[in-house]
Amino acid sequence: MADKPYTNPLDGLYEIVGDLWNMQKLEEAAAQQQPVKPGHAASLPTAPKKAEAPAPLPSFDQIWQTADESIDWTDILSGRNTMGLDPLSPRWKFLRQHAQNVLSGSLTDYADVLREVRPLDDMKKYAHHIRVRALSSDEIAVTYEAFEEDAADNATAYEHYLCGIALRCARDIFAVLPVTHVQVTASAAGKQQLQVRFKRSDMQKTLFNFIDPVDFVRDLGAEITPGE
Amino acid sequence: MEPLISKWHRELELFSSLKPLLILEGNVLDQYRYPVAGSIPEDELVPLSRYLHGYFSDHGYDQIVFYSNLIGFMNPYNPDMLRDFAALTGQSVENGVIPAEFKGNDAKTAPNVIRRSMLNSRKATVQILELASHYITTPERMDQQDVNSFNLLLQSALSASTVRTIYGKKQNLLILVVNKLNDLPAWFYLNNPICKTITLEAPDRDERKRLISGSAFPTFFDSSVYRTDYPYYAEHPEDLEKLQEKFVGLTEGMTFTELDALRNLSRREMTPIRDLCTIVDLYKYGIRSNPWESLSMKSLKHAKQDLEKRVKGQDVALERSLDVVRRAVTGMNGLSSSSTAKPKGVLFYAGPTGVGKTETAKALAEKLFGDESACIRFDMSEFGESHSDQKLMGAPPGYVGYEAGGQLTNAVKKQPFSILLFDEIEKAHPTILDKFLQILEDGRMTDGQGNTVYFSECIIIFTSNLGMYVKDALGNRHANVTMDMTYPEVQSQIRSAVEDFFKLELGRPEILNRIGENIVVFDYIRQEAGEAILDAQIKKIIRRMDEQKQIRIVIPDEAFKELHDAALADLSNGGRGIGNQVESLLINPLSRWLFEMEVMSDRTVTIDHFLTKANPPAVVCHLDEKGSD
Repeated sequence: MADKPYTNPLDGLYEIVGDLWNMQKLEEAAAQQQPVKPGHAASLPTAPKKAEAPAPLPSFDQIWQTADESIDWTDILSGRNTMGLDPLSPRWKFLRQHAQNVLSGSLTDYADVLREVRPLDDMKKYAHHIRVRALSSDEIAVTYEAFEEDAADNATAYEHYLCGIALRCARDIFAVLPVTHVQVTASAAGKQQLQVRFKRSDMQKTLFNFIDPVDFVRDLGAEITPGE
Repeated sequence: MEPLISKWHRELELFSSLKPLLILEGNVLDQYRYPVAGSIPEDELVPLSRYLHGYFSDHGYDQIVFYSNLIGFMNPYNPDMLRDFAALTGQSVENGVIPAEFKGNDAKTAPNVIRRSMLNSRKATVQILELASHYITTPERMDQQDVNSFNLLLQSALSASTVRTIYGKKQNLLILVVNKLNDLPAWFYLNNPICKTITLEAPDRDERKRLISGSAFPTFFDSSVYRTDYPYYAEHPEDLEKLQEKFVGLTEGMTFTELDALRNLSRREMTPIRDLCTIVDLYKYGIRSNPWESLSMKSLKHAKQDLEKRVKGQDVALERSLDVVRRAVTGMNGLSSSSTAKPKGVLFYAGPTGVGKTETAKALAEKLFGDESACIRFDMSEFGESHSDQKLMGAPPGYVGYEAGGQLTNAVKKQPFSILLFDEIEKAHPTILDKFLQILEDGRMTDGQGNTVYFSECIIIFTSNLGMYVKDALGNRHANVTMDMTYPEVQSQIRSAVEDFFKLELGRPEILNRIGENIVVFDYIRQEAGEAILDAQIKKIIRRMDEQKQIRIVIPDEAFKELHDAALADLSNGGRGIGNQVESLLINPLSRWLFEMEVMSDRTVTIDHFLTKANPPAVVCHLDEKGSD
């Protein structure tokens, strides 16, 4: 029997999560629109475009200091409800249902979890086109379109912004998936601004209240290239 | 997986339907594993109060309330129950509690409230008196009001009603949770047919095994670690079994709370599954890399030659000592017993004085831990009084010296990886030997301050001169062994004397059993070993004089023979005796001569003769012409 043709579930994950982001934008836009008269095609919202005058950076101070509540998959697998969820709640049932496969590194289940938990939704006001892609069951790649450098008061503030968001994205992914690495890439106006690879064990003992995100990211050997 | 139900849970199940008064004592501050799924998930670790609440809820009791003399009546798990209880007993809930003093004759005091609820036949009620050890100062110092309060509790239990519930008839229950039974007045529980005492123990082997195996196993690991490591163990269950067995052995004597702390530590440290047991070292000793694990087989292969450089003429004793070390390094030390928490090895060195017993221990420490100071020595002649155990283990609270802790426990806390050398053990008071029983058996000891000290990474060496002399019927001492005897004869005589001491004189054969076959008898220093010792000592003196003073000492063969014959004339005092002779025949006369000749540095001195018979002994030397050497 011939082997099945290889399909990369990672691509699926990329699409699924990417679409979800756009899907939500569509829903939000649709909700704001007037009802469309029969016979008139509804105009779909377009992807965010660069404004004539750059919008200022949203306040992102200390965003890296917090992260989503982590999901202890090993606890869930053994039935320990350390997250304090109602044992009858759909969330608890969902997590129980996926624990075994998530801990087996199933990318399909990773995608299900991302769809359910939506860990990066709260980052939307800080960046556009946030996409999540699994490079393997060990590593997740996050890409986002950052505000352009003009939006920041100065280069230092912009670096702070890029790194802070990257750090937060990585923390949110580590919180929900049992991966060992998260790679974050930020672009603006078609140019790569930042690429960094976070390691779970490095993050485990870090006191995020006391770090400078730029120093932290630089120490990981990141490429920060705003303005190039 | 079959439910694993602890002995105390079974007793609770049985006696809660038979007796209205239960006393839970022992390890009551710990957490406990809930054995069967109910209002608490199966195998979840919970504090005792939550356990009891879950248990009695699952068994159909309508009201469960907790009482503390500092807070009053409460139920943090189900406040509705407290409201019902308040209504039943005519009390009111204030800020989530029903305030009630333990002492006093008022109707609102706790014993009176308890009595009313025990008499009720509408709601099946359980009242749990937490930390009941502290309601009175001591049972011996109770005033009349204390007595009245306990008396009322007793009467409440005596008149407890039975309530019909949908689960059948339930007797109202009064439960006292105490650290020690004798914290309560004896008349309260002794010969009391309505009272049952249930002792809560630290988790046994099965409980610990349960916690680290089955569905609970993943909870010891960070999710990413488990995901990456577990597939190997899923394919090699035999390796997983070995790992879990080792963990169970290493955690002997630990409470559930400590095991839970191990679990959290392992997750926080992202410990790989294969390194699970290192987390026990990290918890106990604060280090992750165990020096025992880092010992190389290669270095141990040459250990005997290294030890022989320091200890001469003790071939058998060194080999026996290294056997114990090899057992520890290969992990075979715990194979013959159920506990792997025991010390790494136990040796009992016996034999004549000055033959290298202490030196062997120091040499072993240097070999194993890279530093002679890892050999911690206790002169047991200092511990001859019955109260000396406090010096060793620490005084209990309220006694002088409590803050200082114990010499032994402090030393092991500071250096858990060490050789503990108890010199002249026969001079210690027998009560101290009792303490050693626990150390040798369980590998741990709780000091006066309540801290548990672990001996499982130590080698324990006792030294003794037992068997060198025996007493006759008149009490006179006679030599039991002499230099004329062969080593097997010396060994046999001394072993038999050591055994007689523990079995007949001390009446404690169990101590001997803990030492087992590890009695190592050191031989007398024989002629050949004596020559080697003398040679080594002379070379050391010559080298040091050269290094420190640039004084080169030359001893021609004829002169050396004079020293040799005199120093080795009597070997009954062992290597130390040879050292004394060298000091007397060489060091003292030579330093006298150098002083008189005002030779302070950078000269060559030839010793022509040793005047060993002179009083004091002297040397005949000459200085070589400066520059001629």
